[in-house]
Amino acid sequence: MGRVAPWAALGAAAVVLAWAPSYYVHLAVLALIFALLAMSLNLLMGYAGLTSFGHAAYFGSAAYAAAVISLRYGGSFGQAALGALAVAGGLAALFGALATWSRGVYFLLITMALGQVTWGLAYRWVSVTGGDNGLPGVMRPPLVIGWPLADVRGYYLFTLLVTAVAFALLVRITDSPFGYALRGIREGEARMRTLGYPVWGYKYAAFVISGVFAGVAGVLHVFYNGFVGPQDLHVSISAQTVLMVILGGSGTVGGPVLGAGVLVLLQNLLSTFTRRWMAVLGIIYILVVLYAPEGIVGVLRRRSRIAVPPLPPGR
Amino acid sequence: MSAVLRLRQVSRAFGGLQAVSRVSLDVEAGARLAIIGPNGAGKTTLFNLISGELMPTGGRIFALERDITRLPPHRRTALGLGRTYQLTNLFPHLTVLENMLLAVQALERTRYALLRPMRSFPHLYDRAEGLLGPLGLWDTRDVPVGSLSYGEQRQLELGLALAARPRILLLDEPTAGLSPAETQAVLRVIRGLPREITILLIEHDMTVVFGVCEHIVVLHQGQVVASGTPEAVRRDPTVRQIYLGAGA
Repeated sequence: MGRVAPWAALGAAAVVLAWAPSYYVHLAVLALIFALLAMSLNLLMGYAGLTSFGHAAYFGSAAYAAAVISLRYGGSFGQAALGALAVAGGLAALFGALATWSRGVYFLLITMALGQVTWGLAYRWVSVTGGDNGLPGVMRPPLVIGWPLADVRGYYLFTLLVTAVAFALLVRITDSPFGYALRGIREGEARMRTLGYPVWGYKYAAFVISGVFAGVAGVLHVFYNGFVGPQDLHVSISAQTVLMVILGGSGTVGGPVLGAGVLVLLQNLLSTFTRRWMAVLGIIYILVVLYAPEGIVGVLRRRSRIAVPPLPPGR
Repeated sequence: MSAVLRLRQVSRAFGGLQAVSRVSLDVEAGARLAIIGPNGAGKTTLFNLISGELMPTGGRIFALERDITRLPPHRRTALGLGRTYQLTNLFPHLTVLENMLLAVQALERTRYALLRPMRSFPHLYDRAEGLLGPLGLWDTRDVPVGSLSYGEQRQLELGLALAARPRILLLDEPTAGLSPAETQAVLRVIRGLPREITILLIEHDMTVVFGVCEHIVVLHQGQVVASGTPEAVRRDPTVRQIYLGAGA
């Protein structure tokens, strides 16, 4: 119960937010979409210890797939979403087969390079992707099972529901034997192998699952913006997602959500004051890595631990 | 009694260095075998060949009625080979209990469960907690392993190896760096292990060797130079020469 109550309160607050001024609702939609993207990366980065620097690939490819299905083939929202998840999952299955043989900085470089391949493809494959112009005019259906998606507030609540379900699923996965095994791989891959775990299979499965969840974020994004372009596949999206995870707390349940919320807010606040907000983000990144490598959640935990009297020694 | 582990002319070279050279060995079921020898004799390399972390450059290895020469490490673990490491090799940011849980579920089908919480498998907790008691780690079960004392980490190292229910257990210097009291505690655990487990032990501490083992193999420059009961090995002239120098 102690764990459920704060989440219930947070959920209630999030629902109430739907009646805030529309600018805040807009920010909240973006924060939720990026929270979902950061959560998907956290499974790979925080639990399995595999820092993907190319997560925009699954986000963006799902967005493109949804746009192509609904614009070119007149597919419904559901068809576009399912097709997009299949594309993101397929791409993760392909890229994961190449990347999960490596780890550490090599994994980071390979995933970044693969991500850039998708970005280059979006630029050059003009007949499908519209090249530099992207694909504008992706329309939200007015109603999905009686839910008013065309309305921003309705779409916000829909995004909230999808993100909450994804959050619950990901928490469930990290609490499962599979999730424990991922943590073991992060802490000692060789030892996991001698304990008898097929380590590669776990890494690969985590990679594909992570890619599919990133695809969910991509679908939400393209139907919100009504537009997809090469910038949705750009490495800056990947970098931003890594930053969200680190800022919030890598390998924690709530960290990526917090990190995404803080960054989306900061970006929108800073960009009204200065065009150099990317530099500010860079400085934040350096400060976090230097002084709070366990992120906001880690700092909060440390604080609360100090506030509570220390436990009596076990022995 | 039949041999559960057979090595036939097993060799391993690193470039020009012959670390293990034509070692043949038969280990009976239930045996307590010590492998001793000076530094660089090839003891740990031999363990790595048996556990599969290294592949031999020559010879064959048979364990539990199977040719395991080319089997990857995790398949050997599933077959019943367990080992500990000379340098502690644990999961430092996870708690003692989480470390044990990972080891206990390693060979269970449920290790793939994706959407059921770990808590919903009480038998895993029962086994993990049951192993912590005899190792003296019960009180530290919620402590991250990185903050345990070195002695406790060595105990846990042994616990992880036992969790997989090994039939052959390779212990690489289980008491290295321990205080006399901690050494006695580890010795008690090893002596208390059932005879269904065959034990091979690398050790420099002769009180441990004589306290546990009935058979000793002496390795020198990658080769077996003596083999027999502790008494026989103690009297062996070659062994005396290696350990005490040419004058002895």
